[in-house]
Amino acid sequence: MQPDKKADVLQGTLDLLILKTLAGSPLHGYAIAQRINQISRTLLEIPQGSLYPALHRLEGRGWLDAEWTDSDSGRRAKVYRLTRKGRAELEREIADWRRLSQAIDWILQT
Amino acid sequence: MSWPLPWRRRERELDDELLFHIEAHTKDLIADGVAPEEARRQALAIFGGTAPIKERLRDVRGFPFLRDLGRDVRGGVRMLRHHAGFAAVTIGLLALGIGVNTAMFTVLDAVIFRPLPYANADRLVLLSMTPKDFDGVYGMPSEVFADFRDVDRLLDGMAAFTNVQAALLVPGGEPTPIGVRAVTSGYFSTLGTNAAQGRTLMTGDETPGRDAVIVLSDGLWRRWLGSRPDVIGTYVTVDGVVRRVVGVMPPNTGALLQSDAWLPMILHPAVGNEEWPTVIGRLRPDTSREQAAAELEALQGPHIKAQGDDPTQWAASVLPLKDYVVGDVRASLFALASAVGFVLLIVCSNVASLFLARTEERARELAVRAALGAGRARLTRQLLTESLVVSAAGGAVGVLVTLASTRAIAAMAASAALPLLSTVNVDRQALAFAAGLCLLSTLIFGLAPAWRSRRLVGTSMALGRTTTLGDSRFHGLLVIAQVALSLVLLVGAGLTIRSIRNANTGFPTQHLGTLTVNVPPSSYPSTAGLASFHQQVLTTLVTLPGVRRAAAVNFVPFGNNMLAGQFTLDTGRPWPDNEMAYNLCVSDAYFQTMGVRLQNGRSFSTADRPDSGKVAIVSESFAREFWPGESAIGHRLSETDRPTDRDWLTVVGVVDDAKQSNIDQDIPLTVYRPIAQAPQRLSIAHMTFVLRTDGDPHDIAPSLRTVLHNLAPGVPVPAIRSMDELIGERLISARFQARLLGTFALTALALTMVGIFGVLAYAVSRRTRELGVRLALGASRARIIISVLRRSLLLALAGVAIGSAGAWGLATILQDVLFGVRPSDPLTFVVVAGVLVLGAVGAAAIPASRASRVDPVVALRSE
Repeated sequence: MQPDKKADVLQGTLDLLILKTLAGSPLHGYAIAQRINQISRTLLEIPQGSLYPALHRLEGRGWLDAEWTDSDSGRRAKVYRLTRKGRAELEREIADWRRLSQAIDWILQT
Repeated sequence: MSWPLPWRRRERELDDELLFHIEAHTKDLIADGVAPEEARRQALAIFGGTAPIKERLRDVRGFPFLRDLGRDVRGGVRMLRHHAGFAAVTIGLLALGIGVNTAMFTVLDAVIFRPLPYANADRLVLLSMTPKDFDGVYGMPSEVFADFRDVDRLLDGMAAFTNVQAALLVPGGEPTPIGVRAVTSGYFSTLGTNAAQGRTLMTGDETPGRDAVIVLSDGLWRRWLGSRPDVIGTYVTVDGVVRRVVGVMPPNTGALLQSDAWLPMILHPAVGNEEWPTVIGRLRPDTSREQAAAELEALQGPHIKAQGDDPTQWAASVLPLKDYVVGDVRASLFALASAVGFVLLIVCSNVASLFLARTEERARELAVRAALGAGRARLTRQLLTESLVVSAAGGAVGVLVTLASTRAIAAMAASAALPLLSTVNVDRQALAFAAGLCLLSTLIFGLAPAWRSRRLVGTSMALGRTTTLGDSRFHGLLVIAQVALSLVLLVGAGLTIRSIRNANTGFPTQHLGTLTVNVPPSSYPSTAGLASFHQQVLTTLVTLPGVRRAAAVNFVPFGNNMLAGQFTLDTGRPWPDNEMAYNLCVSDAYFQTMGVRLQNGRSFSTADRPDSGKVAIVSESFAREFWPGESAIGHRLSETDRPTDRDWLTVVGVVDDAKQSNIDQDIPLTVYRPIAQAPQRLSIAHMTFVLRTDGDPHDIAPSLRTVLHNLAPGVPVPAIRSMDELIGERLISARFQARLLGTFALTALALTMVGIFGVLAYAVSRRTRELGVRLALGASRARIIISVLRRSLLLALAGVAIGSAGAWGLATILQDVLFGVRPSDPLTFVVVAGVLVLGAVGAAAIPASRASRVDPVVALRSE
């Protein structure tokens, strides 16, 4: 079992996906995973082991805010929201991603 | 154990967040038609349980370092609680190592690092006239001191002093020998100390006739005067002189005031053999030592010339007083400090191998944690923290060891006159030092296991077994290091002890008593009168029961004073620079009494009278040095530079060499002269009677007292001191050093044996399976025993080889403090190496026998 390797590959992308997902509205961790799953038409499965570490890391960098709310099941849920800093970061990462995928496209087309 | 709220809350929030996720997921799965049980299993399975995520979340969040530290410390404590034996041994070892080192630091701090306990002690200096190219501290003649004191402008005060042994008689008591310091009036003010009661000595006390006063030490006042409050103004008798008590000093006054009492010193113009007082001074804040030295040098010149000597051969030296007080102790204390440093290193390597064994036993646990997501750095940190917990505990217990051993060191040194040792105490600085040692030793013994854990984590899970290759080599290296360190210590101790044993005086010292009599000028003003008094004492002494022989000498070997000088030789050969010959006046029976063999010629006799031809007896080395290849008998020498006929001494005999002032001196060139022909009264005013007795020389003290009382009622009767006592005083520091070094070396030996035992026992337990296979395949038990012993022997031999090189280096450094033994002394090396090898085999005995008793069936089933 080598979770480290997988996380390394996905790390940059996972951050981008989380930020993008939260750009719409605040969500808790499970909902983020579900949303990514749905929108990507289940092509992308969030590795559950990496989600929470990523969330906490982004929170630590000040890109996400979190607060506890009561859910209907009675258990508290931790809801994450994009901060202004996070929004700027999202813009930057989207631009980066576009450049990267454009480059890969060009390579694949040759 | 509870932790601050924020951390616990965070842990709970982690749980909440993950549980929420799992519950939500479970609910969705149920909604999709999955059975509830199965839904929950699937939801959990995606995470692979919550543990690994939490492990990684912990690394992401907040202050992982601080929080992990808390967890690791807790883990360390738990580990120690579960492995009480391991905890006891490692903590005990570290307590010993850290404790002894802190004790040594405390001693070093008190003796060397801390300034003298006087105000502005850095300005206190020792002033002396010193022959150029000659080491050692002199004083200066009192007339030079008197002049210097009159003209000086660079010092804030200066004083001269000499130490004397005296007999104290308090009203209604027995005479007691005490150490007294005769000081000039500025002594106390120069040091900047005041009396606790009454006053110190003043200028007026130096006037003859008004000098019958005394200042008592706190100790003397308590011991002999029962702390009586009205002591000021009462009278005590010192060496027959009734003196009024004018002051009592406070306790703990520092090395320079360590004396039983202080008397005024009257400066009188010196003639010939007067002892030079030691001179101290306090520099003005704007004055340097060099300036003071220049001033003294300018002043001493005329005096030296007046004595017929060459002023260019003399220098003026101004040294920090601290150097004088600490003296030779510095080198020996540093030697001891490095010895305890070695002990700590051995302790660390012992603890390292214990930790290493623990780490390897825990390989599985570590591998599991790594698999659960703990990073390697994280695991290293955990192991280091556990090490730190152990060494902190060791340090705490070590402070107790420090308290006990500082007291023991001080007690061993109590008689050693180690200056300043009375001020030793374990203070905050010592505690800080101990804490530093904890950290340092953690690094030394904790890094190896932590480093190994990285490889263990990588390999153990894959192998599925806990055995790793290479560990035995690492343990082996630790054992070799221990043996090498012990060898260095044992050789150092061995050489020191041998050198004390070897201290050869040149004459038998058993049953030899000495009795030093200072005859006041008032009793016997003339040289002849004094000589006849000595003769009378001698004739009476030999009649005492228990006395076999008696003789007299003006400066007894190993006494407080010595007289040495240069001679003019009949061959015209110039006297070598830097060389002095002892110049003693002795009575007829001196050589027989001392047991110094007459090699050639004759001894002194009653025929050697003041008016007969002047004669001398020289020591063997003197004869060999100045009249090599021929008989010294008949040759002549003189004390004066340009001798007239009357000044020449004719050599009538040659005697064996005998040590005079230091047990470690090489060739004591000595010239003996008959008392009857003593050049002046002063050379025999100070006389020591030596008695060869049947039993303990102290036994004859009572009859001796009666005899002296009858012969000379005005002369104080001093205590009998055996020659062994006199020599013992010279050797106290060396003995103290040998005793401590010996203790440390034995500790090191014991630790090393424990270390070897531990490593081998561990190796045997690890090889149980292999041994079982070998036994099952028909290996004999003897063979197995031999294989274990051989490993121990090989390690010990390697350690001995490496250690020998180190010990040889150390011994060359020790050379200066060793006497009568060469640094490469084969006996010491062979014995020490033998002891270590035997120790190694002995330590291997139990593991070896355990290995031979392995039951093949049980062994194969294990694992």
